[in-house]
This record gives sequence, C-alpha cells and structure tokens, in this order.
Amino acid sequence: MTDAARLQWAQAMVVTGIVLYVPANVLPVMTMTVVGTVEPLTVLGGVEELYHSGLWPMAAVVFLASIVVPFLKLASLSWILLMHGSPLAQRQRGTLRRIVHSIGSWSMVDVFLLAILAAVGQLGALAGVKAEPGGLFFAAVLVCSLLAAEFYKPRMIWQTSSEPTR
Amino acid sequence: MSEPENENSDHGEIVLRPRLRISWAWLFPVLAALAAGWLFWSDWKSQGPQVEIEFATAPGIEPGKTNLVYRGVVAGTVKSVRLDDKLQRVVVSVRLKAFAADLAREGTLFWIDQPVIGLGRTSGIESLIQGNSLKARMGEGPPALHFTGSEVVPLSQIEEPGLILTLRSVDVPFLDRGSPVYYRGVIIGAVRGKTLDTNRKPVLSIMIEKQFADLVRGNSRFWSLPAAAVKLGAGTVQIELGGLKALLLGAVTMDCFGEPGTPAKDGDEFLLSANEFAARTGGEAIHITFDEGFGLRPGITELRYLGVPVGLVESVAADISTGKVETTVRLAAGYESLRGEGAAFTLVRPRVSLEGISGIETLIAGIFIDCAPGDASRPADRFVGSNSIEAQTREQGLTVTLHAKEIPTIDKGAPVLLRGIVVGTVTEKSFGENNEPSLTLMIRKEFARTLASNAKFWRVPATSIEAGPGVLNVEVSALQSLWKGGVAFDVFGAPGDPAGEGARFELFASERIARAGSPPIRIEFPNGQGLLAGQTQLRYLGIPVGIVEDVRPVEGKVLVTARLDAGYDLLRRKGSAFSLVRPKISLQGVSGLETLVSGVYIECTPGAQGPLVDRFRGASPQELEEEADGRAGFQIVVQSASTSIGINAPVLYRGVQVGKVVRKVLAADGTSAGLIACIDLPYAPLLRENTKFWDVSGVRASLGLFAIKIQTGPLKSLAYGGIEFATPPDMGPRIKTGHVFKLNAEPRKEWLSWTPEISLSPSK
Repeated sequence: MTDAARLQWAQAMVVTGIVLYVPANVLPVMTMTVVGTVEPLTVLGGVEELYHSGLWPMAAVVFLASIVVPFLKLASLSWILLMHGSPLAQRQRGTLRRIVHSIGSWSMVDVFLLAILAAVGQLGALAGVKAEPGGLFFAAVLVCSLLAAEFYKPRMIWQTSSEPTR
Repeated sequence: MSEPENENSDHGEIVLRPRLRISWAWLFPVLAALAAGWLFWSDWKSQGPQVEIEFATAPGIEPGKTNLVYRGVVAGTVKSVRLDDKLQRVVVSVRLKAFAADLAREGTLFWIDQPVIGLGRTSGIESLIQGNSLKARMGEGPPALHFTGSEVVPLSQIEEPGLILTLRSVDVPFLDRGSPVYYRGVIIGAVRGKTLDTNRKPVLSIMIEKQFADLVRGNSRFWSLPAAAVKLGAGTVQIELGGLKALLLGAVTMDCFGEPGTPAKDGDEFLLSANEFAARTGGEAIHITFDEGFGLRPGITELRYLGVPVGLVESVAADISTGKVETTVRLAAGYESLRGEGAAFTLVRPRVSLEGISGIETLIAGIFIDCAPGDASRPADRFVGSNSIEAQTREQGLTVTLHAKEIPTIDKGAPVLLRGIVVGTVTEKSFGENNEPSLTLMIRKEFARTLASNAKFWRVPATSIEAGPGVLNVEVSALQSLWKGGVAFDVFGAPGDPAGEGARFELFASERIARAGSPPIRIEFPNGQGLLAGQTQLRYLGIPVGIVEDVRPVEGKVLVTARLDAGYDLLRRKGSAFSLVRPKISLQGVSGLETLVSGVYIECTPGAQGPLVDRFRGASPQELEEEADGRAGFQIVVQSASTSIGINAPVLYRGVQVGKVVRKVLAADGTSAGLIACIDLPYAPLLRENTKFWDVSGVRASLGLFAIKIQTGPLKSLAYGGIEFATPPDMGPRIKTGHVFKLNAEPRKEWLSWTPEISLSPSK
C-alpha cells in the first residue's frame, strides 16, 4: 500500500469516525431496566446520571474516557492529517500520534464494560441491561480512530509535499 | 527500431502525473453517514405530533421516561412536564409516535394510570413496577394538539362507552363508581359516578359499553340490585346473594319489560328503582284514596291481585283538606286492565279473626293493597280504597241487624257462626233504635238462605263450663272468638221463610236463652245467693230445662227471670215449685254436691194441672222440704221440760226413722219446750193417743253387775238427739195433726216390749 493510499484510508477513517461520533453520543448505548423502569442511557446521559447521583469522580472518569478522549483522538488525528505534507510542527505531530496510538489500546474499555454489563446484568424481570445501537456506533468510532492511527505511519509526518512521495 | 524508441525516451522523462485515485476507503464515511442519517431519519419519521395534556396533578410523570400507552402499546413519550403560568395545572408534553398520530384528535381521553386497588376493581398494577404511565383512549373528533387529561381512570379504557345515561333515584346508598350494570346477568356497563344535581337529588351516571348500547331502550327499567336480599314468604326464606362484586359494590340491573322501545340516546335520563318489582311497575299510575294510611310505604307497599304483586305504591300523601290519604300506585306492565271503573282496593293488614288469621305475612312483609278488578272497558284512575276486609265483602251478603240490651265482648269483625261454621261477620256495632245497642251482621251470600226469619241469635261466649256429677265439660270456643266474641244463630224447630235484607233479630245472651224461646217466667226468691244470669239452670228431674236470664233484687226479694225450653210448659202451671239447690252436707247425706262446681241451680217441680202462669214463688230447699213435709206428713208436738234434741233429729219407731223434728218451739207460757216433729204420712197410723215418746239422745250406759251396756241410737241421733216412740197393743184412736205428746226421758221396760199390729196405710 502506498503512502498515498494510507493517507487516504486514514483520512477516510477519521471522517467516518467523526460521522459516527454524532449518533454514538446521541443514541442510547444501552437500556437499563431496573424494577420495570426502562431507562435508555446515552453516554452523556449516563455521565449526567452518575453526576446527579453524587458520583462525580466517576462521572468525570466516564466523561473523559468516553466523550473527551474519543473526541480528542478524532480531533488530534484530524489535525495530524490536515497538517500532512506541511513542514510545520512535525515533531509535535509525531508525539501526538504516538500518544493517540498508545491510548488506542485502552479505548475499548467502555465497550468491554458495556459488553460485560449486557452479559452479566440480566437479573430476570427485576433488572436487565441491553446494548443499544449507540454502543455499536461508539465502538465503531473507536475502531475508526484506531485504524486511522494505524494507517497513518509516523514517517509520513516527515514527508513534505516538496519531496517525492516515495 | 528500438533506438529511436530509446532516443525518443531521451526526450524527457515521462512524468507520470499522480492520478487522483480515490481510495475505496472513502466508502466508509459515506456508509457511516448513510447509516447515521438513516437512523436519525427513521427516528424522526417515527415521531408524530407533539401534544400537550393538562392535568391537575401528574404524579410519577417524568420527561423522557414516561410513555404514553395506548392499547398496551407505547404510543409516545413524555418530553417535558411543566406547570402553567398560574401554577394551577401541570402541562405534560408528549411526543406521539408516528403510528399513533391519530390519537391527537379531539375527544381523546388521556389519563394517568396509577395503581388502583379497590374493592371493585384493581387496575394499573403494572404501574406499581413500571411507574405511572399515561394512557389514552382514542376519540373521534377533529385533530387537536391540546387536551385536558382525566383525573380518574375511565371505566372503559379501550373504547368510548356506547351510552352515557343518567339515573335518578331517591337515594343510591350502595352504588358507587365501578358498580357493574347488569343485563340479565351480563355486565354491560358500569357506574361512572354519583353526584347531586342542582336540586340536590342524587344522580347516577352510568355508561353502557358500545356493543350493548342497543339493549337500552326508551322503556328500559333500571333498578339497583342489593348486595344481598332476604325474602320472607309464606313458608320460605330466600336469601339472595349477588355476585361477589355486587356484594361489595352493589349493582344496577337493567331490563326491558314488554316490547322494546326506541333505542336510548346518550344522556337520556332514567329512573333508578329500588328493586326489580318497583322497576317492573313503572306503568300506569292510579290514585287511591284511603281513610288512613298506617303502614303504607312508598316504594315498598305492593298492590296485589289474587296475591300476585301487580303494582307498587309510588307515593303516599295525607290530604289535610279531606282528611284522607292519597296514594299513587303504579301498575306493572300487563295489568293495566285492573284499573277499570269499580275496581275495589283494600288495605290488607294482619288480622286475627274467626275466619282465620289472615294477612299474617304482612307482619313481616308489611301491609299490601288488595285489589279486585273492575270494568276493564272503562278505565279510571281515581279510586276510593277501603281499609278493611269486611268492607270488601259488604255488598256480597245479606245484612241483618241484631239488638239486645247490652252487647259486651262482641266487636266489629267478630264471626257469625252457624253450627260452628263461620257464615258471616259483624260489620258494625252501634246504637240502633231506642238507643239499644245493635250489631250489623253480614251473612255471606252463600249462607244467606240458612238464615230463616225465625232464627235465634245468641252471643258465643269464649268459654263455657258445664259441670255435672262426674262430668266437667269445659268448652273453649274457637280461639278467634276469644278475641272478639262472636254471634251464633240457629233455627229451632221448622225453619221459616228466609230472612230478608235488613231483618232485625234479638240477640240473646246465650244459646240456652235463645233456645228457650218461650216467654219468660218470673220467680221470687228470698235469697239469690249463687244465682247468675245466663248461667244458672232450671232443672227438672236433674235435666236442664231452662236458664235464668236475669236476676235482680226487687223489694227485698230476688226476682229471677228465667226461660224454659220449649216443651216444658208443664212447669209453667200454677203450683209448680221452684227451689234453689245449693250444696248441702249433713249427716243425713250430702246433696247438691254438683252445685259446688256448676253453681246453684233451680230445681223445678211441676204443679198440678193448673192454669199457665208466669209468676212463681221460689223457695230454698229447706222451705221446700218443710213444705213437702207439711204437705206429705203430719205434725205432732212433743213436749218436754227441756231438751237438747235439735231440729232434724229423727223420730224413730223400732229403730226405723218415720219422721223428724222440724222445729223447736217454746210453749206459749214458757214452761216447756215443744218439738214439732213431722211424721211421714205412711207411718201416721203408728201414732195413737196413748203413744209414748222418749228421748234417745246421747249414749246410755247401764252399769250391771256383770256387764257394762252401752246403748246409742243411730249415729245421727248422736248429733241431733232423737225421739223414739212406741204404741201399746191396746192402742188408742188415731190422732190428728198437732196432737201433743209428752216426752219422757227414758222408756219404761214394758214400752219396749209393745208390739202392736198396725196396718200401715199406703202413703197418700
């Protein structure tokens, strides 16, 4: 795969991630049924719920991990890709990309959590957790950002448009 | 040829312009965008209009969570809950789903489904777990977006009720919201609620389900079904229990009697009757006037025909101006023909009469109005009712009047008996001519011919006791006559012509008097002790032949009016003797013992074949006896200086009593006592001029050398003393009445050995 193709893939992944980011946050990621109360939860709704129930550190963690971090990842990747070929801030871009890449391996924690909840949280009629399309979108966002970081090799930061692309 | 090619290649380097190759990777964002877009679009598409519903309170309604449920399906979601400007109402905004957009139309009913646990119905249990939800029932109006929610859970949640009706009633004690409405056992609706109208009258609103709406007709009748009913009838006790639901909530029952009428419309008003019978009798109203209305109860008192309830008293009102009670009675369908002109209405109460105890059921069930139909071809609606059974039968019999000096114990309604059969009743008791009490009798038509013009009437006493030696006959008349007494009649002898209407009869005090149809006789007695009018009998040879009718003192004597039975005219002849028989216990014997029980009676002795008279002098038995003695024997006087011999002391001849001492007198000069003895006629020849008398009173003991001899006369002489006499063989001439003898204290020995032969003349 040529670098140009890689670049295009990375760009496509980031765009896809951005597109999917919206439904991932708008649609409920899961439905929690507690004693008959059916409660569809979006990620943001979950954070709000945690905050309102007084667990603000948890809320902060979830907010960071599930909303801020994916957003920052997409934003960082977008910036890196936009700056492709530019000689500016190549060093910073390399660092940023490395960070994004490294935290990428932890980004699926939310999805794992959701999967475990949906699997374990089946208490018959009393309570139940069901994964909703939002979770799928959320996971897709994470996968997209992972792939984008993967497609965009670090050396490509250092390629400038004046140099041959080989 | 390759050279030039190479040369050609020297022309320059072929710069391969990097072609703008679009990677397949760009398919992903497009697909993602499409997917997200489709999701949002479908979400948007599934949303219907947003409606606002106002509630007074909205407990448990949470935006984003509470769903609108229609027919069990989530048809929308609450988006926001807010209060209105004045903080008076809660406005709930609901985003309907697209498929439920039709709910947004006028008439749709929204309510908050809350758990309702009640006696009658339990609903919204699921909301206990799931939280409250909004529910809706679709209306049929034009589209609308603003609604006012219902504060109560409607009774029919699925669809609108077919009919909403109003029931009016005097009171609706048991019924409440949710009480079922039955039609022949099938629940066709329910009570929506009860309230008071502007006139403060209870009004019941009921709804009939759509599928049953056509059952309700204009002439349908509604009545409340009591939770439990106890019916008491003759011999039966019937306890009816409705369904458990009806038991808890009461129920309304609907039915149509007769031809179904036009279908009822929404909002029609009906009358709620107290019971099925009242509902059935919703027909024609008739007005009956009664003299008094004790026990008449509107809605309860029934009109009966042949014992079958055919109507119900609707209202009872006293009319002050006329002093009567006006009742309005509604006839049951099918009995309109009873309201013909001339129909008779009678108030029936429990009564105890000789005819039996009637109307006893009214003790329990209350009184009722009995009716006899009139001329069906001429219907009327105003009648005059009567208050007693007699009135009903008055025109159906023969009316006669009785008069007597006094009429105790007999009252209105008392029975008239003929040989123990009730043939009529006393209908009136009042004063007739000459201020004499009189009774008006009604003899039933079928017995009228038994009343001959020579019939005799008498009062029936409650009890009569007839006693004789060895016989005690206590006769208790029919229990009913204890209540009111009674009148009996019979014909003695050959019946005469049947009595006509209005005939007058005399009422005798007792059967005996009535039987003793002859003119009365009057007997004077010096002492009337024990004589009872109407009870003391006249007996001839021990057989009752008459009865004392009246006893009253007149000028120091007792005048007894008595009647002799027919056929005893021989006792009415001059010379007949009448004496009072009282119990007498003496050494001679016990007599008249039966009078201890039966009371005194008058013994009659027929006189010679004299003329018929009606005045007699009565005597006590002693006098009579004396009289008889005076007549039958003859008297002698036995003189003694002093004697302990008493009256009734026997006069003995050879130990045989031939007479007795009847009187004891003092000689005119006071020197001696004289015993007047009466000697029975047959023994008169025994007495001669030289006859010796001696005293045999007491015990005579003669003490001899070897024996003690104790002599006594007859036992009787121990008490009274006694006189014995002997006549010597050379007897003198016979004596005359009033001959005086001397009484010796002891007989001489030779007297005792006198044994003259004297031929006893036959008595008389």
